Amino acid sequence: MTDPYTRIVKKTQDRLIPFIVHWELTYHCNLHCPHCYVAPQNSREELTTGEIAEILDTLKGAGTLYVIFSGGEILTRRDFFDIASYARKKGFALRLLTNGTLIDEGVANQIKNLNPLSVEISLYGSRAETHDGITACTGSFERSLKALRLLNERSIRTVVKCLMMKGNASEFGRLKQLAQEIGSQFIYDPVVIPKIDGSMDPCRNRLDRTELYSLFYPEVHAVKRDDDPREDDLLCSAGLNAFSISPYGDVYPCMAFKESGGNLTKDSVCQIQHSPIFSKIRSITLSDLPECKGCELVPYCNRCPALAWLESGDLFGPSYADCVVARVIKSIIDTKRERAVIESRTRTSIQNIRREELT
Amino acid sequence: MEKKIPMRSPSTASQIIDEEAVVIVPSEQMVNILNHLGCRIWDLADGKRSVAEITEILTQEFDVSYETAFKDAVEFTGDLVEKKMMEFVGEGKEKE
Repeated sequence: MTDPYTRIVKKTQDRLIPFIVHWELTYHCNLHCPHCYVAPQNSREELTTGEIAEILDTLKGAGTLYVIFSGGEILTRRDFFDIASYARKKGFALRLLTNGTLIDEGVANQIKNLNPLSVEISLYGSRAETHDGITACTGSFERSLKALRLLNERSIRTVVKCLMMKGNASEFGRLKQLAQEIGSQFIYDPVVIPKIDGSMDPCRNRLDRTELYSLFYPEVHAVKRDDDPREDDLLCSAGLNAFSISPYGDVYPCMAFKESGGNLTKDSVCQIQHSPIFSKIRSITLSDLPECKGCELVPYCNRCPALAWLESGDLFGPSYADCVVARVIKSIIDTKRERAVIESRTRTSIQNIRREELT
Repeated sequence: MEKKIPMRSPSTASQIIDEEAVVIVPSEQMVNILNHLGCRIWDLADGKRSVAEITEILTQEFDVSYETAFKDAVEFTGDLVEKKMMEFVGEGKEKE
């Protein structure tokens, strides 16, 4: 029997209710990470406080519960707390994605007053040298770490997020341990995505197959998942009960798939949900993917349509980064099977190494 | 109890989907689903109406006796106060 929450989530998918909204409030950032996917459109003005409040009103009426505020760096917006307080007053559940460098005691107190579900801070290494080398900002490691401590002291749920790359893969274990020591959850992502303007520059930092194997080996268990995708399964929830809003009000099926379905300063949620690109992306099933549908890696793969599109411009093609990850996972599972290290937690493990779910 | 005024706790997050309410208490990391009747009480608990006034509305909308509706409203609001989802913010009118 389906639990009530799962039943409601299914209902929001069936009815195209934007239950979860990922909102990039700004593309401004005080760090300079080379792997960042953001590509600001300098000729455009970001939404004003008033425009954002109006859109929040619209989202409340459309059925949104979760709002994830990210950037750029959200705290570079001087009106951030006006926006977030208004969102809380409207009853949204907030997740805040930040680099944490602008959080001092006062800001931590303001965040506490928001009662967010979580504050998620990126750490790119277990040492200042590594993290600051990636952010190109001396002192950023100490400031981010201090922010995590300030928030944890205030009993705010925090998450340490890390994109695993060539520059930090060797610190994976120590970073995971650091997160545990300070009382934060730890989430990592093994795939660097291209910039949203199509530049593949960030992908130079991607781990190769050998590095991925070393990273995943302790994390992946020995049994493939038991729910192999069927050919008519939908492959992604983008455009169903979730979408992404840019700092300019443009609405995308997800934050990595920058084909706009409309703009919330002039289009309704209904118009956007029924736009050609939204209709297209939510209809894709395995049977629509000529290269993927017969692939032996399907049971190990979590293909991301946005990544496929960013890599090759083909929404129906494979995502080569995901192919590499799937091949590595299969290889590890095959090896562990041979060693008869059978555990029953593999399905969870496979999901855990994917980019994090929205909720 | 009739005069008490319940209010949705400002610390919660909530959304109504098809006459059911999804209510989150962030500090507890807890999600609660309220059924049709609970959802209506949640919606009416605006910090202005007393339990008696909410009960009157329920009797009109749900074809139920005042006594039954009152019992439900009292139990429900009490339960939600205990779960930090609601609070009593004052006293208003009793049933006339």
